[in-house]
Amino acid sequence: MKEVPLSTCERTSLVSSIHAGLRYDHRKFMEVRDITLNFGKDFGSCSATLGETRVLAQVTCEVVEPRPSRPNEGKLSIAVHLSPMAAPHLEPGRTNDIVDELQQILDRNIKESRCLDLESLCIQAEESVWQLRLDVTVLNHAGNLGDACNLASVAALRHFHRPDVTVEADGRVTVHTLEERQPIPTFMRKVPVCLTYAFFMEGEHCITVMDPTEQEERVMCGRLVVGLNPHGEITSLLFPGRMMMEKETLLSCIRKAFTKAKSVAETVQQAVEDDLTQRKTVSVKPRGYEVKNLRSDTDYNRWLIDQRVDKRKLMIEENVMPMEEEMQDPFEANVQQPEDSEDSDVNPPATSSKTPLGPSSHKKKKKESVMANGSEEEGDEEEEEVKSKLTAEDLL
Amino acid sequence: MAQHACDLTFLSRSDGSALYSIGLTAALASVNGPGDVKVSNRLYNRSHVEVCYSPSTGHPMIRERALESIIMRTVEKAILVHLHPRTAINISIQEMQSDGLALSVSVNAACLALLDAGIQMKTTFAAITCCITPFGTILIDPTEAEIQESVAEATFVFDGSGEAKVLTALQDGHLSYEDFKRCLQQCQEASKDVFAFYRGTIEKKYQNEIES
Repeated sequence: MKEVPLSTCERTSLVSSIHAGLRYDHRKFMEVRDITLNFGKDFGSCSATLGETRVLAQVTCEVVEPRPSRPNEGKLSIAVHLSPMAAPHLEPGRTNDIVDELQQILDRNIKESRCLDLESLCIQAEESVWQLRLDVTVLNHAGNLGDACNLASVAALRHFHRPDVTVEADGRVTVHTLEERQPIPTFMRKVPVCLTYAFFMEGEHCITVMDPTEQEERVMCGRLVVGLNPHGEITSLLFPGRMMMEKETLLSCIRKAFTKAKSVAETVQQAVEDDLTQRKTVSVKPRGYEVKNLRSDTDYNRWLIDQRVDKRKLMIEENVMPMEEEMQDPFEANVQQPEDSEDSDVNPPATSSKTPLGPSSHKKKKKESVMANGSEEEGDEEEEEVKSKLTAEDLL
Repeated sequence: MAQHACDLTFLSRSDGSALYSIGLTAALASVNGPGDVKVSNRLYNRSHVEVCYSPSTGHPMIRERALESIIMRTVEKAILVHLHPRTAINISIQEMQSDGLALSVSVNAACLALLDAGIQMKTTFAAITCCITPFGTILIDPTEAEIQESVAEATFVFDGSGEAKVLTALQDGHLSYEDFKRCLQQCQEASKDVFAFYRGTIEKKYQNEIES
């Protein structure tokens, strides 16, 4: 099926709204969409969503002969698959520009950054090593595939456990099943993070937008994909032309990316650790990708709307609040507190993984939600505003 | 019988999609169409149905191609293909995790994704897998381990007309005529529950849409 082009009025409306400082999905310019990570029933299977973009990553392993040039190193191969499921215009089994680009981003970020200790995958030098195979499948293409693929791949690799092996005296290698012996986790030194910026030119002025959606990707002037890790190292930089940019803009983007990378890396680590500890402590086998564990895009959109409505309500209540607070006696003020804590749940901090995503969340489950720095700051500002109001009234 | 579960309109980019799970096996199906078609596939009197099955690891090989062709022949029987000449309907199925029931999960996911996309069909269809243990008992919706130990495995696809006619049948292993008949009968019984589940799922979808 052919790709449906964006009409001229859609284009102009999108660009002019960005020039006016607005985005179609009510996000701030430097705000990243919600990240959720779900793990399958087996080790090394992860489904990551970035807003509506959804990617499935699966790690498998097998024993192979090492490369003659590197006799004591394991192998890692990465394959990206795009089917018509991701977007109707894509054809199955055929490589296109998107696949090539994603392949390149993942190769540089994960393989060539050497974040994975390949030497630990060696069983017998020059004889046998583990080969890890990472299959990344895009399920829904709603913009920013690079970040989503990187997230899913890193989480899957960190989650993966390989079976234990013993080497007999005569050089035979026995691979033990996961039931026989405790499987061994992969050793990953650093967490590579990928962040994407889209640029829109307004005359000479350049507007920078983070985590572009599919529509934004179609109208943007250019973009920058930064692969980095929280230790302050850049693993890849992709700036595929189409525009000229000031050196300062580029550098400031990279500088901002480092602060953002920390929170993203923490989210990934936390999600993987939570799932692994759950697997250890709970004796019941994990259910993996069950219907109730994964959130559909319809539910996600409904949740976003609910959240927006709640926020609006909160703002209206805050405007009314001062009148009521004068009437309150201390006892009622105590009662009021739980509601306040509920309100703060609407903007959960990045680390609160176990708390449900606010009162309106449809499904209670372990889910990581990263609110962008922008919204957190906004929450702080709101709080400060409330505080300042209170103090002013107390004085009166 | 294992627990069936389904989530409709799972993906935002597809015309219709469904995540279907039976026990620990789960598959995601998405449907696009009827839309434009390559000249080589253009049929003057009917729409071209394409099925694309992707495994969770590796490239599609013989097993996947075989599944594709089984699903395609089943789906073609159900869809009213002559309503949309010179078009294509694309069904993509992604294996999410596997516990032995890949075929029946894919077929059921495809059916619900087609319903979700609103593609006209003669009938709905549901697949049931069963296996016979060495002691002769029949297990409906077995797990991978149970299939490994069984003497034969059979999958039937029934239509939703009420009589539960057989659309597709696939057997693997040693199966006597008597056993075959018993399997068929038990699967036919089980299919009624699946159709009831379909009905509930679709009712829930439209109920939500009316409410919102």
